Amino acid sequence: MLFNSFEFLIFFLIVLVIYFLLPHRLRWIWLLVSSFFFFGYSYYQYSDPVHFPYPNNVYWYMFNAFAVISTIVVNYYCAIFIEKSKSTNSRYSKIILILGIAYPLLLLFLFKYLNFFNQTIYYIADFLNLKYPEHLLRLIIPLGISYYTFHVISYLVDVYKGVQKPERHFGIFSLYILFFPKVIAGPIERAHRLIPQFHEKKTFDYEQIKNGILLFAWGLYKKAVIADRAAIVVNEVFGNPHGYPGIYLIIAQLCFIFQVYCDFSGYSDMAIGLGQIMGFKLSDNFRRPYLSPSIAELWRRWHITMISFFRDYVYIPMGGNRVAKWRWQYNIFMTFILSGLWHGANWTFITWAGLNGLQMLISYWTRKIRKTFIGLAGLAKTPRFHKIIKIVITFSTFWFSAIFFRANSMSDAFYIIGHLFTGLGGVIRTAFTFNYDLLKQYLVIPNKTTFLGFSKPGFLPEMITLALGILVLAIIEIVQENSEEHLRDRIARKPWYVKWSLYYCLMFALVFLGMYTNQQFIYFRF
Amino acid sequence: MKKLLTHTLIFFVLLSASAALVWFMPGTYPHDLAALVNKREMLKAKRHPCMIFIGGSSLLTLKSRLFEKQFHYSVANMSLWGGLGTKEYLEEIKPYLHPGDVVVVTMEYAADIDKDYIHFIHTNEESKKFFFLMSPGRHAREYLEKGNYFDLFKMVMELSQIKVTSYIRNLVTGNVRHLFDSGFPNYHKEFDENGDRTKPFTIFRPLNDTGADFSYPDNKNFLFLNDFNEYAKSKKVRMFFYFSPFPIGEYKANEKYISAFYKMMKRMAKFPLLNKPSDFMYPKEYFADTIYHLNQKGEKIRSAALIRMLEKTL
Repeated sequence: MLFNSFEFLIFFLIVLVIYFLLPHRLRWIWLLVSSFFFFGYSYYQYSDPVHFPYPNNVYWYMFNAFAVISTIVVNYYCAIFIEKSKSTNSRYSKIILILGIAYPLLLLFLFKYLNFFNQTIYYIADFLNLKYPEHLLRLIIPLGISYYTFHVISYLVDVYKGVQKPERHFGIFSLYILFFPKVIAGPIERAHRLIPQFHEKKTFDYEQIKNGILLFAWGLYKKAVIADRAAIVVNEVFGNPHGYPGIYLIIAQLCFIFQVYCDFSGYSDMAIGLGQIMGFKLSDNFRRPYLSPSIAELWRRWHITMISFFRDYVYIPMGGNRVAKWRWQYNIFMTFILSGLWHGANWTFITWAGLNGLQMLISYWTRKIRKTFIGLAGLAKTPRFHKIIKIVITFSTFWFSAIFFRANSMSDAFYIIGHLFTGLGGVIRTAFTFNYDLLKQYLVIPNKTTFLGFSKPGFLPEMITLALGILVLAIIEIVQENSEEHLRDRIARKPWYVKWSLYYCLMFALVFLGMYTNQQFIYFRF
Repeated sequence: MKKLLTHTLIFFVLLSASAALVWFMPGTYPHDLAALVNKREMLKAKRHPCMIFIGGSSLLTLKSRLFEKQFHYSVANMSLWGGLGTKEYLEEIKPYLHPGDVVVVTMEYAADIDKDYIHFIHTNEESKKFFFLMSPGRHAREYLEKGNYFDLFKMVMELSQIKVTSYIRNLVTGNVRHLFDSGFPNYHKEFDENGDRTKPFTIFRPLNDTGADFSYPDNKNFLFLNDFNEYAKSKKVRMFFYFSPFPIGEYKANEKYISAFYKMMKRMAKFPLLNKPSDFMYPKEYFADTIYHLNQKGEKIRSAALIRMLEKTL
C-alpha cells in the first residue's frame, strides 16, 4: 500500500481514529494488527497479482509471512538467551548472537541474492551453449526483508553489547519490527529509540499532529510533484538510451538525481510524519545531501539510518579508522561495496557504490594538492564562493556515479557515459546562433508520438512544473540549511495569513500538481 | 480535537472552492485530444445544413473547402484520432444535429478489424477524459447515476491538473494573452475554421504500420452505426459511411479480412456505403508517415473521389 494512494489515506484515518479511542494498554495490539494488514496488503500489491494471480502466488505469500514471523521469533528468543547466558557468564552468548544474525542474513541471501547467482549460472550456461532451467528458481523477494534484517541485527548486537535490554513483551517486539510507517523502506530504527516509545502513553496533541501532517504533506510534495513527474522522463530515456542524443541523456540523469532523492526522502518524510501524528518520533533519514560540500559529507546526510548502520555494525567492527592507513582505506571501500550489494546483487549497484568509495579515497589522497590549489586560486579568501564550488563538484560527481545506479545494465551505463556529449556541440553552436530550425535537427526525435515520455503538447508544461517544483525544493532546503531551527517552526511563528497562505500553497500543489500514478517508491525493491 | 477538525474543514472548503474555480475558469488543456473542445465549439457555431465528418486522423487533411464549394453545405471536420472511438464520437455530436445535416463516417481499419486496437479504444482512459470535457454535464450525470462518484472526482481532478500546468506554462513563458483560451493551446494554428489540419503530415519512411494486425470482423463492433442511423433518421439527418484509404501492399496482405469486413458491412448496414475498400487503395507514394495518413498528393485524390461519391447520393 503506497503512502501516496487513496486506499492508504482511508487505512490511516481508520487506524488513527481507533488508535486514539483505545486505552493505552490495547493500542499496541491495534498497531500490530494494522501493521500486519498493511504489510500483507502491500506484499499482495507488490507481488504483481495481475500477472501472478492466485493460486500461483500463494506460496510466495506463505514464504513472505514465514520469513518475517520466523525472523521475529528467532530474534526475540535469541536476545533473551544472550542476556541469560551473559548473566551466567556463559560462552554461548556469542554463538547465539552469531546464530541470531546468521538466520535473517541467510534468508536475505536466499531471497535477494539467489536470483543473482541463478542468473549468473544461466549466463555462463548460455555462453557454453548449455541448457539451464533458470525459470525454476525465480524468487519474489519478501517485502522489506533488507530493512527488518537490519533492525534485528542491530537489536541483537546491541543486546549482546549490553546497550539494549531484550524486550520481553513479544507483541511490542513484533511491533518494533513491523511498525507500518517504517516496515517497508525504513527509517532503520534502533531498538533503544523505538521500543520505549511503544510503552509510553501517547496523548492527543494538536501541535504534534499538525507538524506530522505538514511533514507528511512535504514528503508527498517531493514524491508526487517532483519524483513521479521526473520518473516519466527517466523511465523513457533509460528504457531506451540508444534512441536519444547526449543532451537528453544528461537531462534524464539530472531528472533521476532529483527523482531518487525526492522519492526516498519523500517516503522517509511521510513515514516520520505518520509516526509523529501517532506520537512516535522516528529518526531523520536525509539532511539536504545535495548541499554537501564533500562526498563524505553527502554520505553522512544520505539515507542516514542505513549509513549509520553500516558505520556501527560493519565499518567499526572492521576496525574503522583505528587501524593502519591502508586498512582504514580498505575498510571504507569495502563498506561502500557492501552497501552497494545491499541495494541489489547487480554489477550496476556495486560499481555505483565502488565509485562513491573511490571518490572518498581520492578526496583523501588529493587533500594536500587541493589545499595548495585553493591557496593559489585565492578561494580561501571567499569561503562562500569556495563552498558553492565544492557543492557543485560534489553534486556533479554524485550525478555521474548515479548513472550506474539507474542504468538497466552495465552495457547501458557505459553506452550512456560514452554518449553523454554526442550532438551536444551542435546544440550549443546552434543555440547561440539562434538558428532554431537547425537546433530542431538536434533536438527532434523522429517518428515518435511522445516527447521524453510526455505527450508533445504536454511536455513543456510538465517540464516547467517539474523545474518549478525543484526550484521550490531548492529554496526551502537552502533556507533550512542556513538555519538551526526547523522551517516549520519558523513558519508557525508568522502571522496567520502568511502561515495559512503557505499551507494553502502546499495543499494546492499536492492537489493540482501531484501525479498519483501508483509509481512505486524506488527503495521498495531494496 | 475541535481545532484539528475545524482547520481540516477550512482546508477542505478552500480546496473545494479552488477546484471549482479551476474547473469553471477558461483555460487550455495541453493535450492533443483537447482539440475536441474546439471542434465542439466549431460545430456549434456552424450554420445548417452542415456536413459533418467523423473519423480518425486519416481524415484530418481532408480538403473541406472543396466540399463546401461543391455542396453548399457548411462543413465541420470533427475527426481527430482513430483511437477515440466512433461510437462515443457519434454520441457527442447528437445534440448538435439539425434537420438536413449530413454525417459522413469513416473508421480506419485498425478500429474495425484489429482486435488489440479495438480493445485499446474501449479501455483508453485518455479518450474518456476528453470526451468528458466535450459535454461535462451529460457525462457527470451518467457517472452519478451509475454511482461512480470516485471516478467522477478523479476525472474532474485530472482535467483540472492538466489545466493548472497549462496556466503555469503560460505564466512562466509570458504567454498571458492566451491564458484564458479554451481547448487545445495551439488550435487556431494547427486547424482551420472547418477543423482540417493546416499543415500536411510530415513525410516519413518507412511508413509506420502499427495497427495492422487484422482478423475477421465481429459485427458487434458496428451495430452502433445502425443505432446512430436510426437516431439520425428521426432527426431528418442523413448518414453515410466510406472505407478509408489504405496502401495497396497492406491491402493485398490483408485482403481476406478487409473483404470480410466489406461483406459484413454490406449485409448489416442500414445506411449507404459510399465506396468499396478497393476504391481507396493507393500506392505508398500517396502516404505521409503512417499507413493511414495521406500526403498532399494522396489527399487531393481522396477528397476529389469522395466528392464524386457524395455527388451521386446527395
